[in-house]
Amino acid sequence: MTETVAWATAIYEAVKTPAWAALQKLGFRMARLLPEENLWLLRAPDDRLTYPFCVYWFVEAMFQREEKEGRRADWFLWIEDDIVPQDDLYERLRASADPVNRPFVAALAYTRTPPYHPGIANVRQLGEVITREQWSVAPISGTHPVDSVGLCAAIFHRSLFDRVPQPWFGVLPPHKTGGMGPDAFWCKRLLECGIQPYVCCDAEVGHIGPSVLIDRASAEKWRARQ
Amino acid sequence: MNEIREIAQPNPSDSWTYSITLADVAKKYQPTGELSRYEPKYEGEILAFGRAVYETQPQEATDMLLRLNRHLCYQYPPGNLWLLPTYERLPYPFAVYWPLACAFETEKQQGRRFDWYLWMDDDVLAQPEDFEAMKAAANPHLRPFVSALPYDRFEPHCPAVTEFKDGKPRKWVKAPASGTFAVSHVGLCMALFHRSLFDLVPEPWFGVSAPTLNKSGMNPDYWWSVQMNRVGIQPYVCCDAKVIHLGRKLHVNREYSEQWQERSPRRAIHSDVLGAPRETSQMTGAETITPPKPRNGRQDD
Repeated sequence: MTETVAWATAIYEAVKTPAWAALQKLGFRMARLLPEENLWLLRAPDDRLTYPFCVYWFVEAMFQREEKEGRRADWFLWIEDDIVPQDDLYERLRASADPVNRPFVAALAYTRTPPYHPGIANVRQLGEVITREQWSVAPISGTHPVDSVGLCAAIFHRSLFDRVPQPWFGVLPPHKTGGMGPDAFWCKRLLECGIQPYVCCDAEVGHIGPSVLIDRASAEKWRARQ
Repeated sequence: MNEIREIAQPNPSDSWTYSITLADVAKKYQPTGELSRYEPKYEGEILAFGRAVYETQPQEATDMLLRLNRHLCYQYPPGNLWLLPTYERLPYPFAVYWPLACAFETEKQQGRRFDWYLWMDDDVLAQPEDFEAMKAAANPHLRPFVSALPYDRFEPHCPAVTEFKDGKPRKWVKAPASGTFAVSHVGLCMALFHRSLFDLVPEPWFGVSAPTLNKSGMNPDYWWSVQMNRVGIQPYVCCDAKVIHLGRKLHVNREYSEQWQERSPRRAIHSDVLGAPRETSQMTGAETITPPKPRNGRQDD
């Protein structure tokens, strides 16, 4: 039986051209793999919905679609609005995911600010103190277990929303023990339930970073390097 | 046709963009092939889908685009739906030419021609049904150019359609509820062009003429209609393709807020707030209500 994929693209207000063009291409590819009734495009919210509300909105949209259809989705595909996915992102993520053994697999993305490390961290907890050690180099290929991985693009098996108790996506403000984004929060919740998050290094997505500021100094520096 | 020339013919002195052609744009901005890159192995109609996006597009437009995209994917075999790229930060009229240049480049690469060119602006929301209505109305010989019904994004938000009566232009202020009609000029929010038009209509296809004190300027939409009129090809508008044009953002302030609360036809939806018993605060003088219970804000999927 063909699986059903609920596809969510989080968009704050506007979508940059590399992102929407890539989403369109990904849509082409997914439409060739899945029948129309098995590819659910989850409706975006009114604009300017921030984290963690925006992730919840789409999960809720999936639940409502399930209720309407009288059947459940198999996978929830999540892509952020500043991500340029590969055309075959879904195939790569799906190939490395498994409903039982690897129900959550994220694509490899690099942080959008310097020093542009992979968005993956080892997390250690000693008492109340949590330390995060950011990966500086990611493996060239393969799917690997991780403590914490970014939610730039990821596939969630539907069963996770039954197995992992809420809250799923939280935001903790930065203070002396360090803040936490919805990405790290979700991975923490998975680990608390004994579920291993994975990163698929063969699914590598582009992260749209801040604009380069061009002035005399940067222009001359750039030309000197050529 | 003579009357149309007198009224609408572009004046070369108005703007240097008068003389821009496809070859000029393709020379400056190298066109690429279409993006989906499927092997061209299936017979049947080919749809080339082009858009102009300056740098970003609004959330609603992306959302609807992905839905339309999915619909088209299931209507055309792989390789017969050409997804044309856009060139970032390219202004009019280059922005319209460039995706088209990419369609011609794809023709060269694949050794075959597309049949229809679907054009959509970046501030337009279209449903699959809108495309189907346009497609049903279009015909390679009788109606090679059909536009969806566009509304001006500026006040007073009239349909962007003109017809001629006794040689005089008549602007539409209220469109027919349904049907496809021959008109003289129509906006390019979303339109279907048969491939043959680019053989029949002389260049420049999409010009921009600057507005002056004495007369309004001309945008690429109007220009295209003028060029078609010149060679006796009739533009059509399909009123069953009811696309949405994203207008200016609301400027919400006290005046707007109070007028909306008094007059909006959508007030009833918010009766839990607007109909709640009001009390004037002794501390601030503001009118206050007990906050209503949160509502489910979702519409549907």
